[in-house]
Amino acid sequence: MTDFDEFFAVAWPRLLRTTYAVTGDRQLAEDALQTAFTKAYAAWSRVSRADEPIAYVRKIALHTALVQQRKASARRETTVRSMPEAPVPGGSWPSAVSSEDGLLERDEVWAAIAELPPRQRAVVVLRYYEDLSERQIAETLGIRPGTVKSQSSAALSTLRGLLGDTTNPTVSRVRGER
Amino acid sequence: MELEELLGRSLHDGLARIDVPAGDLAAVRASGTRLRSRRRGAVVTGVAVAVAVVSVSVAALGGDAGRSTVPDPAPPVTGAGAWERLPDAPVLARSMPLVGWTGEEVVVVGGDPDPCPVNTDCDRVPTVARDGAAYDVAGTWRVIAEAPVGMAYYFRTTMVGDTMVVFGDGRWWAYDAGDDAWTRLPDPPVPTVDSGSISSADGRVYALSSQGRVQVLDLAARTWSALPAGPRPLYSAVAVATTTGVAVSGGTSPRDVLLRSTTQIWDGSSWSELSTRQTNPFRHWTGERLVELDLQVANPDGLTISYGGRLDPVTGEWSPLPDPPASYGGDGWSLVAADGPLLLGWGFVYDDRGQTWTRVPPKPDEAIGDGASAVWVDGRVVVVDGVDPLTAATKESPAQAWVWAP
Repeated sequence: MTDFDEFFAVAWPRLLRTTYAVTGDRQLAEDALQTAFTKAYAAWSRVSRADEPIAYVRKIALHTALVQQRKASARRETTVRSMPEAPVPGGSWPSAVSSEDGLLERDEVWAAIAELPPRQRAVVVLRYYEDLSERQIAETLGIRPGTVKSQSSAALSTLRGLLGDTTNPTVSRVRGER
Repeated sequence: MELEELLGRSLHDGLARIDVPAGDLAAVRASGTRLRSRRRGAVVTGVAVAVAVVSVSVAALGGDAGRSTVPDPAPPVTGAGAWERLPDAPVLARSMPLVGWTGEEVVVVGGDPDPCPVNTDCDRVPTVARDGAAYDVAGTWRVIAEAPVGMAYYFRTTMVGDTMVVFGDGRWWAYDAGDDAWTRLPDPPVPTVDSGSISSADGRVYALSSQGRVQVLDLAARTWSALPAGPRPLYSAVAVATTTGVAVSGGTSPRDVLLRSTTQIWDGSSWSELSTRQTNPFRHWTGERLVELDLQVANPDGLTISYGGRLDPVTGEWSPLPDPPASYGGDGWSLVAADGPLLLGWGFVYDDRGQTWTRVPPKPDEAIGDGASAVWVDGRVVVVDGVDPLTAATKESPAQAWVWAP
């Protein structure tokens, strides 16, 4: 197994989840990631010398996916759903909604994230799923750190409005006790 | 539970439960191999004509005529301290090509491959290139689709994602780097003023009409709209996209242009107006302020007037550029580019965050051209060198590219 093979095996699942969470479209996520890994393989002698090869692939994948999503939107295509449905246990790509208490709460969160504009959604996913810093998010999305800050702030404000009492500690605890 | 904690848990828990399909490694390897071959072929083909011409000269001098002029290996876009040479572009050198950064690639198109020598009279009709190339962050060039018309140095460009929007000679064009395709964009309701700049934010391109109104192109929808008229007409006006809308600055009269500038700010719902003791219009939005990088100072009527400055549109506070260098800092290259808080010009990089100045290193000895074009790439400056109008051989050489990290 080559270095690239090992890298691919480890990075593919993680980045596919990230790309899917940002785009909400399974096929689009897979295609974008395939494109990104293809470019990485073509330039592997250089990419592998980078501090974080995964950052290169993540950047290319998200860029490709968001551009394709924008083009699809511009063409008024309806085949690309704007947002992911909530994941369910064991499902390859979920469509059902669980009634499990904790998951129901998370489904509400998922639906709220789905309401965000694409760039804000990307910032949220990169911050709270990939645990990237503002600077890393800025580099990934090709925007300024200040823009990351403002997009993040706008996203959190929107989410608070959409989730309402969900983020209230008392209500959250009550739901958890049911 | 706090919102941020809830987001983290929801994303981690939800996505962890998904059984993602395995990636197709074999397909990646196969398509990656084809891509690598295509890129090598593109580079070799792109410089073949130039290499052929150069090699004749080299052979005549007893050199190694078979040696490729493409540097090897191709480094990624990195640089520190001094200019670092990147692989040559697979197109011939040209003066003042249009350049842009898509987030993945530096796009280079057009320019003048046969400029008139400085301080000489030229009777010939200027040549304008239609071809171009794109440089990937991984370190490879590709030849891009030829533009429908020659892309002259005075054309205006702005980047919208991976699309370079170009305006020139009364027409609008878009080069989509992802599709490698050019398309003509619809004409705005009122013709765009030819001498003005164009600027973009959030998928919208702003341009001033010949009647002084700001017209807005929604690139995705390919439709034009117009903002309400500003408070009053401005002379020599320039429009710059901001976070919330657009700023238009210029003079309120032909004489006013020499003494001050007036900036009209559209915040998305209404116009406001600010006056500054700065003669130039603002040409750049940092994300927080309007900044005009110009070190000149005039003293008409005993007044000290700055050509450049910075304006906070929220507070209305204007100030001249802080602690500007006393003189031009360049050494052979005249480079202009701006991105976020970083402005390149006058031989310096001005960083508006810390209000600091960094001198640009001297032009490398190997760089021979006039009319270099520059673009910011993730905090680094990439330069596509020009062409030496007095040296015939260099006109037939591949375009050089350089990178520097301030």
